[in-house]
Amino acid sequence: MTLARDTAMKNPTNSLKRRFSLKFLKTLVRIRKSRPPPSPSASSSWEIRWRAQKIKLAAYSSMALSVGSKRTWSRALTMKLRATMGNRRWSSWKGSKKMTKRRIVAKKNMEKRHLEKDMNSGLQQLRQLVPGGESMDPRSLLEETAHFVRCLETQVRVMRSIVEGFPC
Amino acid sequence: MELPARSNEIALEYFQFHDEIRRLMAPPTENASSFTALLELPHSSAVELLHLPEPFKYSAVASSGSLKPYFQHLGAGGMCFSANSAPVERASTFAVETDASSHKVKDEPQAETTESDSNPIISLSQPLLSDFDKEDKGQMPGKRKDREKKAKGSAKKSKNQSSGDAEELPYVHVRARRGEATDRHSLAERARREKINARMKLLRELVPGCNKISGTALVLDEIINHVQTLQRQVELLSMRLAAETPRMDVNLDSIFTTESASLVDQSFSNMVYPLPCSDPQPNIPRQYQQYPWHLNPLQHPMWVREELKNNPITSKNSHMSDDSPANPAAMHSRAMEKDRAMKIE
Repeated sequence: MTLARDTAMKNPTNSLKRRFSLKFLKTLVRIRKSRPPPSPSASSSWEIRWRAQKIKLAAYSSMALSVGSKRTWSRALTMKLRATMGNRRWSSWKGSKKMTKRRIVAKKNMEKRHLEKDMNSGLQQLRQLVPGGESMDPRSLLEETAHFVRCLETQVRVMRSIVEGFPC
Repeated sequence: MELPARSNEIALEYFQFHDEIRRLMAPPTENASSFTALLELPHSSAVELLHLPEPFKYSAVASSGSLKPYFQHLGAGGMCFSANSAPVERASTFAVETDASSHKVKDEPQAETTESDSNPIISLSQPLLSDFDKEDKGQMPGKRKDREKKAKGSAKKSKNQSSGDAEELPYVHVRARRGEATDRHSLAERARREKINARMKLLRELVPGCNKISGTALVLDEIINHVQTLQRQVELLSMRLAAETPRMDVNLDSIFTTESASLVDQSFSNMVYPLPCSDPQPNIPRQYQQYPWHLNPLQHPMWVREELKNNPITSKNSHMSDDSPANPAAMHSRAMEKDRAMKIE
């Protein structure tokens, strides 16, 4: 049953799904090989969490890689990931502290237009969610969001199919 | 009767000239994506507009679809000018530029075209429309409404109802004209909104359940919610994967050694084989059938692992003898699997 579903999902060839799934699997294998020596069957929660973090990073990086530099968010994500890996600060992965000033300025510019208040708060939230969305005009922000949502859905589908390969 | 209505159309034309010129002046933020091409005129067309193109050139240039039907509509309407007042004459000259089917006022444009450049369009249009205002106050609102409705569907700028008065066309235009500084902003905002709305439409299609919601803010909230949900799902799945990784199958290595795409596809389900479950895999992929020792990959890891755990393997031995047709190959493969399993475990 999963087999049919997977083949249905992965066609046509050279789609985003395929590229992402290949890259992600490779990173998974690497993670599995490079994991610390096997602890007793009940591995500590800390270890699981650490590995989960790694897997999440691997997912995002493989997604960004398979998208390439065509999209602003993928570029921003790649830069952020490289910075995170370099500094080894896992906690700062999601929060972009460097962008605080730009975020404030962008917010001020937005608040000038009173007509668009509702939309501005929504846009502000979107900027925080989508990587690289801090310094983008609303139009391209929405475009990036659309592509990002599609890629996220791909990611979720692939990962779910992998996880559900374990019936237990 | 026909005169004031016609002049309104000309006013609309000027409106669009304005629009193009403003677009030129505004900083270009175009991406090279398909729907920006739909929404905005290319810059080449704007440049052409500046030099007062011939009628068909203009209609060809406005191929974005927003202006074209409007101009076709203009061309369809016949032009008859009594040419009484000066502004009407000037209006007719400009109308001639964009409408080839004019008959009466052909000799005048030659005099006017020399001075007609990008800037004079704006300066000339203002006195014109002030005259229109005086003339057209109470005349034929119904007809104008009709034309405005037709024009509304096509021309973006004629939609400008910022004055709040939707009834009489000249009022809208005059207000748009006189308060030019603010008007520029509102027109630009309108253009921006159009583009943003196109993007929002795309997003609505992507995010499930957004079609019913009306209003940009709520849809945005929904989109944000969806993005957050997806990100949370990724986190959860990565946690699950992290918990499941120790039990992942050896076949991953074989997947990447062969490196064929279809193999990857089909091997998703074959990748992981559960330990306690003894269900045989229902669909054996084609690629695997080439290699006899991979025929029942389910059996191998089970056997290997149970061997490691020192379980009785008598039942497993009988299984193996049944499954693997070529014994030497099977033995070899079993040894390979065992080695790999040992390394990983």
